[in-house]
Amino acid sequence: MTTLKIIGLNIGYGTKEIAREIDLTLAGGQLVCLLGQNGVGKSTLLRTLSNLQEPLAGEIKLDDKDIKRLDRRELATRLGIITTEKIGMSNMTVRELVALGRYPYTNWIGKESVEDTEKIEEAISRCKINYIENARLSAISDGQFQKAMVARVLAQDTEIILMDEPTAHLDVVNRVEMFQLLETIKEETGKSILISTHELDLSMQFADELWLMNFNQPIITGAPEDLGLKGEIEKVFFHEEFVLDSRTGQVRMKHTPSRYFHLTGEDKCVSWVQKALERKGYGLRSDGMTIEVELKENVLVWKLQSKEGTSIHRLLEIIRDL
Amino acid sequence: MNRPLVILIAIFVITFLLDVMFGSVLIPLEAIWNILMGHAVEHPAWERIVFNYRLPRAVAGVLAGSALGLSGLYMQTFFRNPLAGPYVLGISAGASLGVALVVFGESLWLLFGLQFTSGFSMAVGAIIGSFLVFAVVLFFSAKVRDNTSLLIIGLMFSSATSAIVSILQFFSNPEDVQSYLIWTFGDLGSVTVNELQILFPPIVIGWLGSVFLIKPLNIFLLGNQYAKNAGLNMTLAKYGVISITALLSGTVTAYCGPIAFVGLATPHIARMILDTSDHRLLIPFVGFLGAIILMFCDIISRMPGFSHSLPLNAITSILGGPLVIWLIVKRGNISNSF
Repeated sequence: MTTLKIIGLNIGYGTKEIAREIDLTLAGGQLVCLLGQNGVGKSTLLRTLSNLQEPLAGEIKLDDKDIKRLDRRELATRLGIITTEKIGMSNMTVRELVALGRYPYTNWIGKESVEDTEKIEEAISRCKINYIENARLSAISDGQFQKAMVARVLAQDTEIILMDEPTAHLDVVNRVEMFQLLETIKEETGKSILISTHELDLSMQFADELWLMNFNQPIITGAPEDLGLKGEIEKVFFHEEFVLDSRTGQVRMKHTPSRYFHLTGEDKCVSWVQKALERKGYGLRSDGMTIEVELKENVLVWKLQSKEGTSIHRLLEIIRDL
Repeated sequence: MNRPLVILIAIFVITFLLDVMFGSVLIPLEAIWNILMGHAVEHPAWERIVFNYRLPRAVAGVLAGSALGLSGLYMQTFFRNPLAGPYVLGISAGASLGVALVVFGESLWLLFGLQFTSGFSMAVGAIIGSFLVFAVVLFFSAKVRDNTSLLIIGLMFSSATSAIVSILQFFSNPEDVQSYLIWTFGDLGSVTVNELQILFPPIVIGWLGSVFLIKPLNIFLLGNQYAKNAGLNMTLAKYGVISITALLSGTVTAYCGPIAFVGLATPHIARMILDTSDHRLLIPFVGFLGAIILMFCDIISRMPGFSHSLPLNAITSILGGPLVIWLIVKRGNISNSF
């Protein structure tokens, strides 16, 4: 299995350095998620690793061979990238897009060999996009497009796949599907996959390793749970006004609540009412005003002082007028 | 071979024959056949007309039409911009400047002891002009990262060179202005048999070079980053695309004048008919289609049956304008045709 070694790497554009002295190793057969705030240099790192952009200093080694010394074609057969660059509305079919993944292998006119055809078809069925094989890129959804891009990079048949924000613009179902797909690819083909992403919860669930990138600090690596336990994830997404809970992936406001309540009753009802109260900036404490909630014939019923009702919306209105 | 291409080649042959047949005098198909076979025909003058005027003109139409169509296709794919054509990158403007310098600078050149004979020197001026402007644009292309910036630089050079041309016009005598204007009208008929021999090799080199552009152009459809990650030699591909485009459109502009619309419209029509973005199919198709369109415009511009003819550029624009509008309206959005 191929390892990608990053040694003393400085990245950026021209005189503008974005991150410095990065030392990392991407081991074979791993799914690694690169997390960090916008502008921290995730995309720049991925572009530098794939030689789309010159590093300012340091080296990148593919199995102890500097990628700069690798032949253009050889690099293309060993490391593939999916960037966030838009292809735009296109008349190209999904099959044609995937076939372009075979670019480094085909002859000068781009004729497909039997092996090329096999690889293309394998990539298409692995990504389960056979049903849109002949659809135009302009006519498919963002989720389908992203899967087609994964199929293209699979057809490129590289040991390492880099992917910049694979789930941007995708709905929740497609986001989970994308992570599942990447995991399956890793399991079945043993490829190393490095993705930059903002999906904290999905990364915690699917990644073998997280790379946490913070401004002006070395990149921290480790298993998601270790990093969560040490509070490293909260540090990366540090904000003055809220805390990101790495276990649930949810945000919690930091400001002191204007009023406290005490919630009692059935679990499911309590959690939804709690959600509503927190959303409005109220806190929960045992000495607060008591709200009782219960489930009567599958309908939530709340009691506050002498008032009673079934809609949480109404409850919030009453609290506001207290 | 696919069916649309076979049909297109048939139309191509018909258009070519029509282009030889029609003109101020109608020469019947049978007579053309006899002339080409070396048999005697009833009007000996026809033989002269066919060999000295009609055939060179039709061949020039084929060369120019295919060259303009192809360079339009390459520019549109390379810049991933549906508006691109030989006019961008300052190629046509550079040619105009070269011609303007030859025509208006006659007295200036005489000071250096240089005297030009019109036709040929205008062509040389055009070629040098287009390649010079192109070289400057190329120099800037190394400094900018994206193709859109390059497109804008090309447009800026176009307007700068046209400004210089208008200054030259302002200080020139009416006869020179007129001969310059006639060049800008575009004309296939001005290409003589001798000139055709000079026009032929660069265009053929351009055609042959196009074969090597097929694969790079297909990956360029995905944008520069993917092209690079696919192992494409970006520098070689960029200079390859740019220089073949300059060679094709620069040479044509030199001999036939700045012909509008063929370069812009042909690739769009081809993409619409073929419904593909694969350059393996597009390149031969655009080559033939460009030739057909230009020859068709040429036939109309000659106004069969009349002794006068109209400027070719007027015809390509009058037909091409509405055609492009129709294309855009039909597609709803022309940028999704790539």
